[in-house]
Amino acid sequence: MATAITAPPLPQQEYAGGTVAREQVSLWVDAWRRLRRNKLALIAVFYLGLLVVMAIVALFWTPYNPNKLGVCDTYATPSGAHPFGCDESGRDSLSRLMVGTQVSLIVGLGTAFMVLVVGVTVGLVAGFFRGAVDSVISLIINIFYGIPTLLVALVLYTLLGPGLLNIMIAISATVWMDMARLVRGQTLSLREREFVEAARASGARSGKIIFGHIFPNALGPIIVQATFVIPIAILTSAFLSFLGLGVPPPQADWGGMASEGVAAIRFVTHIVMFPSIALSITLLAFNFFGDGLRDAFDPRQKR
Amino acid sequence: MRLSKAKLTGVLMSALGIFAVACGGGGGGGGGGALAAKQILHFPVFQDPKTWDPGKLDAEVDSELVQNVFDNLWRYDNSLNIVPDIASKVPSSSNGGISADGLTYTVSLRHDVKFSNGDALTSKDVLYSWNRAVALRGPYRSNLSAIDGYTDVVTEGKKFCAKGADPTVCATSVQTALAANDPKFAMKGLTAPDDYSVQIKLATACGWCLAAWSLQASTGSIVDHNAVASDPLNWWSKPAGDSAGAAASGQVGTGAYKMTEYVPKQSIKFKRVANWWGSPKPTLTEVDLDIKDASTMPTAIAAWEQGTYDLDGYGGNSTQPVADILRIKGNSRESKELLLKPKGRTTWVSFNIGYPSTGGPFVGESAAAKGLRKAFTLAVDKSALASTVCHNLLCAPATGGLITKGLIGYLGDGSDPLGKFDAPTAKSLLTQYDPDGSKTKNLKYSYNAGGLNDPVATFLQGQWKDNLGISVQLDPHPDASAFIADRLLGKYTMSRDGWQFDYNHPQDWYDNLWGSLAAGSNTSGYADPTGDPTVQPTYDSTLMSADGKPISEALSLYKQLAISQQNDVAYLPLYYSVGQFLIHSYLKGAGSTAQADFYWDGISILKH
Amino acid sequence: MTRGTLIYIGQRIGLIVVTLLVVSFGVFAAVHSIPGNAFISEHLHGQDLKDVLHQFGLDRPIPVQYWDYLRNVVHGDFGQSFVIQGQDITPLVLRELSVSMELGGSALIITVGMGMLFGVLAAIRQNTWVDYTLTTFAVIGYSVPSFVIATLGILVFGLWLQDLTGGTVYYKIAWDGTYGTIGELWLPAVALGLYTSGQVTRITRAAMLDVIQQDYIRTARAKGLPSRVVTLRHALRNALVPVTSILGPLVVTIIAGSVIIENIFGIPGLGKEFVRSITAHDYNITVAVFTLYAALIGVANLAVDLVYTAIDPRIRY
Repeated sequence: MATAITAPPLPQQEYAGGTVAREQVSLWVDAWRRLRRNKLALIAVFYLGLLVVMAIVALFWTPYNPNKLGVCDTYATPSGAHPFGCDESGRDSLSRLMVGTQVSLIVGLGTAFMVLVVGVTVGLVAGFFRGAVDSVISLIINIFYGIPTLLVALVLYTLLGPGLLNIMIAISATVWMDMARLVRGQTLSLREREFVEAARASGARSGKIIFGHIFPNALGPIIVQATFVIPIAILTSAFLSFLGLGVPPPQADWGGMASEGVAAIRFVTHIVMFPSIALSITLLAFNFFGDGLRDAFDPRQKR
Repeated sequence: MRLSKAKLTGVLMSALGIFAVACGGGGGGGGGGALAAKQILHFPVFQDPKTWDPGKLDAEVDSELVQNVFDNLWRYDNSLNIVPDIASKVPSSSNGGISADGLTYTVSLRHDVKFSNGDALTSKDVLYSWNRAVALRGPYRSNLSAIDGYTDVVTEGKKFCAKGADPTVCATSVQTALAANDPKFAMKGLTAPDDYSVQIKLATACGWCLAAWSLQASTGSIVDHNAVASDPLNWWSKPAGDSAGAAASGQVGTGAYKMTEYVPKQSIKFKRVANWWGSPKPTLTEVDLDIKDASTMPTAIAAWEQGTYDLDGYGGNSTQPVADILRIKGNSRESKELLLKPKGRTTWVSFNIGYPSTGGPFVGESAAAKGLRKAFTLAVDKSALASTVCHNLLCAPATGGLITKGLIGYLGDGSDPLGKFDAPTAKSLLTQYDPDGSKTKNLKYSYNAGGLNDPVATFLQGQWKDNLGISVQLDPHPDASAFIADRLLGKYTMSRDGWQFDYNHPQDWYDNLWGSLAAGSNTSGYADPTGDPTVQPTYDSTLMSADGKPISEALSLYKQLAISQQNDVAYLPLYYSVGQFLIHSYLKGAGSTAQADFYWDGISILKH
Repeated sequence: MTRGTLIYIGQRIGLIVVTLLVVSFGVFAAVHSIPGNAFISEHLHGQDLKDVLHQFGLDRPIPVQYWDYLRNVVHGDFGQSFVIQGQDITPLVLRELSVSMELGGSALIITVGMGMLFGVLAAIRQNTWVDYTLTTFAVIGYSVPSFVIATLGILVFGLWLQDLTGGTVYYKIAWDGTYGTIGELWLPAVALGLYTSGQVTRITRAAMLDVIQQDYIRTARAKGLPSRVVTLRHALRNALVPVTSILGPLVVTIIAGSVIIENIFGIPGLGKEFVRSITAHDYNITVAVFTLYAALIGVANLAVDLVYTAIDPRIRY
């Protein structure tokens, strides 16, 4: 899943002139203007906002205790009191779905953050220092591209043991390469540019050049790339849960709920239906948002 | 005398079992219809064999199949009574089979027993099989541990088997030594006065030995030394050859069926042995098994409904997906073909009682420790557990002691004070022994994730919260093997525990679970010599004395042990498991005891 | 084949070998470090368990075990299963590989066939409802998880339209024989292929538009060739290049997806085996499957790159 194709290689930004700061400001303003015009992306943002609200509400309130057994009948079909029905142990599905939102968002955002930290660091280091460092890093990246990602996540997660943080680590290990490769490419090209040359000539240290000059200029594509990591992470964690390797019980998560639902599919269908729909729409929203963001940062991609 | 009592108890217990659990009918009730032309039984199993070598076999799923291939001297009938198999009768003191001191068993063998390849069975085969099982040091070798000379052979076997990094070396060396009649590999208490009689001398009196020796597809089963010699490690994995004598090979036994084909991950085929010596003469000509992945159990049920499979649940797979069982239960036609059968498996919560190093509020036999154990026990509504988690289909509340309903040693419905639910008493015990709540802070309940264990854990957490006001953290372990290893080391304060009986005798529970005999496999450390010295001497002496007596005299002693456990609050009883079998009504003679599937040789397919 | 190409192939094979060594050691160390083992039971624990682990050599340091494993592998011995005692894993894994190849191959055909068809249609009907429908469908394709599509398929074709499909979907204990028939195969293959087909659609569409707007197409049009022929002859040939370039990653994605799909449909392939082997501590199988897939991906990537050179004459090594 985490492959080059989920986020096509991004062309380098081109700068007409002026100061670095000016360029950046106009880049962000332009991007926002373009994003606002993309209706699909806006709907996606709206939905994702609702999702975040739901996750926060679920921290304080759910219709029922999501882990309490027997609040309703086993496999009770949707009704007024339980709009999404009940599961095998008589737990309220709506409450569990709400709590499951937290898991999906934490895994998505947390993984994106981890990938950001690891990928950007590795990419900057490889691109800036080049030579032997770059060769070693590129070899490692290539090795990671040569192994099937879900299999890595499965082994790693089993090794690390259950837990939300471990899920994020396991998934990050399978998707950091795209980010690293992107940042490396950006850095390689940026370090040759005049303003970097100028900074170097005036005696700036490597750290300052990397984080003061190169990183801010590569930020647009980096953000787009990080946005694409979120749905991949949510999807992968749903896959893990589906295979019985998700967050430890009794914590509800969408993949695990769908998996329970599939087992009961010949008896009742609502158990599998709601988490599947929630998962699909959320992934769709993140992908639309990511597409919109990419188009906004790089209008030439848009057709 | 002793046996008739046992028999009576067995019948009584199974009768009770049928009454108590709403039994949906199912197999066995086919009546006298005409037989179908094709007598091929087809059903799914959900795992490959780990091993079918009776000397090393350790899994119910394996024994359920090859109990039809191997015989013991005696076997359990469908009411769990011990009946003659290779031996011509069941020894007792009244028929002279057991000496007055209870130390010598004289067994005469049937003269007509033949292995599936034609090899005749003699007393030498019995000696070979039993000595081999001990020397291989398999998990069930202790079934033979009362025989004089047992320890010597175990020690001797260890010399071979613990050496090289290769199991082949172990199996081959043992085979070579046995073939050469090496006296070091012969238990001195096991002798053959002539070709058809065996004399067994015990080191100590043993009331449970006959029950253990009769355990199907285990260390008491008789194997063909010629076949084993052909491949000492993996002889059991190959189809039974037809050649007798030195040319014998494959999985050769004396049972009514022989394995004729095994394709890993796909299928296993068994065929009826031609001119089989035993009775009743089997009707099924062939038994075809599909090996399916456990995740496809719902699909297998669908296939059963469509008629692809004749039954589902055999082969140790009677824990079915809940949704499908509920669905079938609600279908008037199909519910008649659903057989619910208590499976001799009890689940409880173990407290850390005898491992002071692990600590926790439950350690020891002080009034406070016992009081807190009792508080946690009484705070759990076992009936609500059975209805909420098990939908009253998958399990029944454990209210009659640890030994499950239907087995010798069951104490009677509602007889266990620990099986009761009494929230006020629980709360007052807690206030009495932990007034400021400091002792019961940060408690964890550890369990292996999966199946019923997850909802049960959540249920317990809720009960302790609601009835005691204590928040217990759940500690699920994704890997059962790692969980079991740590549990046996006493690493958990509260943990899921359980036992599935092997043979119908209280000794199988009491020896394996508590006391000094269980040291090393004692989850709670109750009555363990190192950690729980106050209870241990009395417990052990009562246990030793019970184990040495015939069951008629031993029962009251075992009951004494049960009561002392109850007084000491040694466990928190949860539920007895119930197996679900789907058996089409055209199958006659299919069903299950609390221990195992009914033998294939009694099944026939009616016209349908 | 030029000398440069040969050197390039040599380097790539070197990279594959390095990858396989690193990956197999990594996974070997990982699975041996997962707590638990395949042998322990209520009746086998303590010293007895230690003895068994010792017999199988599992109590030695992991590098020593790996070295031993590698030596056996060189001699063509990939070890035995710990769960099915005495079973060599090689025939098992090969059979399951062929099952997975059947599923994965079908999914790949669906992916490329459907993806390219939709991509071409969307491009030549750019900015019409056809375009919008197909591109939206593409996003849905790679957003909706494969198990949701599979579940939906089971629901519709396995339960609601059961009579139409003759019970081949889901009801049938998946794949009676070793291989699936078309009736048994199509739904798993579609569920598996839909995800990647969305990506192929997007890439094909973009590449087609690129080509359509280029000069030589305009020239060809100006010469009077009918527009449909132009599209198919020139544009399609050029659109093949980017699609070919992502075939390698596609294979990776399909392999990952097959783990899920095989588990839902109960298909006895490698993906299912892999999941089972991890949880069952069947070490040799986990390592073998993992390494096998890494090898497969390496070879697929190499082959794709070589084909890529052949169809795009601009690239030279």
